Amino acid sequence: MAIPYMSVQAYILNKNLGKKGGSMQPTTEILMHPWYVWWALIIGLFLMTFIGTWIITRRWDK
Amino acid sequence: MNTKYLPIPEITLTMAIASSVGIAILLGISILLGILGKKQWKSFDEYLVGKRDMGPFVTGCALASSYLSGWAFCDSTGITYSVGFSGMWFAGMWSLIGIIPCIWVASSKTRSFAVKLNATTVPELMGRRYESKMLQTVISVCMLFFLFIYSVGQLKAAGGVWYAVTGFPPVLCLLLGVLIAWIYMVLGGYVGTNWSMAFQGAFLGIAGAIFGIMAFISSGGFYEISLKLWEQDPRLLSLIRPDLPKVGPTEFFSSWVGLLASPLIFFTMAIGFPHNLSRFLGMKKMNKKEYWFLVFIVWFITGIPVMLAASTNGLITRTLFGPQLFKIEPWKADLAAPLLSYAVGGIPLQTIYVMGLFAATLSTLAGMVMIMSANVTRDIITLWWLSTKDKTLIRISYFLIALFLFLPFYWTWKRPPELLSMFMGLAAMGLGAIFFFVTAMSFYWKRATKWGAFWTVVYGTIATLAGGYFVFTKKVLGMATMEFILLGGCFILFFFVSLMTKPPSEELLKRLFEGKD
Repeated sequence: MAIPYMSVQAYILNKNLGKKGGSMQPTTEILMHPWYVWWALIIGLFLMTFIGTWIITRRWDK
Repeated sequence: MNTKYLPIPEITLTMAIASSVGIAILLGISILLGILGKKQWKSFDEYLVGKRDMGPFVTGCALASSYLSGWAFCDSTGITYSVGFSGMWFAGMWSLIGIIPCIWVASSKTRSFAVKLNATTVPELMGRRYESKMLQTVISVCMLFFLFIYSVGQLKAAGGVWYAVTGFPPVLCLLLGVLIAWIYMVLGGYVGTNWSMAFQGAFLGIAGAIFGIMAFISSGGFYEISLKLWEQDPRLLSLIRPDLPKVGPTEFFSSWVGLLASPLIFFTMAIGFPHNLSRFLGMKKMNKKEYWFLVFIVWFITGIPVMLAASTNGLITRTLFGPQLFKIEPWKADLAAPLLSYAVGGIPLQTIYVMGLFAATLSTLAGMVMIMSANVTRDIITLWWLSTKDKTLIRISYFLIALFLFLPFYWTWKRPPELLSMFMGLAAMGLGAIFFFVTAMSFYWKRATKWGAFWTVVYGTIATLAGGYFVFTKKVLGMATMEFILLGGCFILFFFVSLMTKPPSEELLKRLFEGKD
């Protein structure tokens, strides 16, 4: 689910910032997580555009 | 010297000349389209709306360009440059969630209602939809007020970027820009303006897509961008930044309220903006194929460049230049997009970017100015003084277009008054919240009444003014919270007052809602 995932992410990042000097080595998961959301948005909005238009126009007369 | 990041490029003569030539070409083509548009109108009605025969390509490009302002093409990149991923929600990732439903909800209905009611402007359409001259006047005054406030900031991004890349004072360039916009608007009327806007929209779509894709290719990929951002500040990777203040504009980046408000803002703004709806007034009746083409054009111009500008462009600039831009007064992060274009594509790409930015700026401004002028001529003068001659109205329009173009120019050149600056930030939100209900909802809800619309306009205007004070002056309220206050109030008043007051006449409802569009 998106909400806890993003909240946990914010928590980890902020906790890491609190450690002066030392920083946790980022995992691929941490580095890539915003891109997963970014891709979900890009794909979701693409699908919304074309599926929505298909739904609206599917009963239009020629 | 900081070797970790790219140095800030110095302005060169080649850079200045290339940008000047680019802008000259852009303005030259726009003026040519205005001249061609002159043949398309003979009466004042045709001056305002043409012959209602605009096809999907022109309508789609003009709609996208009226929606995308200089802010979308420049400042949005600065937002993600400044705060990282958490900025993308507000910076424009949701653009499509506004403009595509705008086509679905408003395109056919605006055209069909306008034809049935013989309306040439959005307030006239509403005045006849609600059977009230009083409401038409109130809507036109409200629209004039909001569009005027909103238009004042339109030239700021273009002026700043112009100075940053050429070193020439922006006064002359902007003055030339508004002068040429005046010529093509005066000559071409609605048709010439729409053609120029369509050209500018097509240009900014292609320029923005090339820019965004080239920037991404040069970045090294998703992982590389994230890694470099992490090395600078891990918070840049966070999708929400709880460390940022929850009052003022930063609420959009710092909380769930902000994240949820952003798509709502884009949704209501795109559907409620009168300069967007006006593109449909002169549109032809579309068949299925043309409608799909319209959607595709808008998806391409609004979707690709803006979504990249709102996300990857800003992040890549941050990886290349680090936080150096914050030290460059007075533009700071606003320089992110022009510097990135230079870093990844040299002078050619920077020139294309500057042209695209001017196209975005002028098209949005022209769309708004055309409406403001018609608000006075058609919705106030003709409404109350029916016998005013077409010739007089056209001459008044020429003067008003000059006035409404000059004032934003003047306040970009000179600092705008404090009060005006305070309300500018919320003007777009106010416009969206009010007119989403008053216009778009009235196309579908038969029971919508003039009093429901009237109180929505009154509340929305007062709430926007109060919001400007509490968000920007007192700094006790977040901008996203204000969006919910605005929308909630407009929703309640529009629906409840409508239900409590006398419905529109049966004759009107039959005419508008029965039979095919």
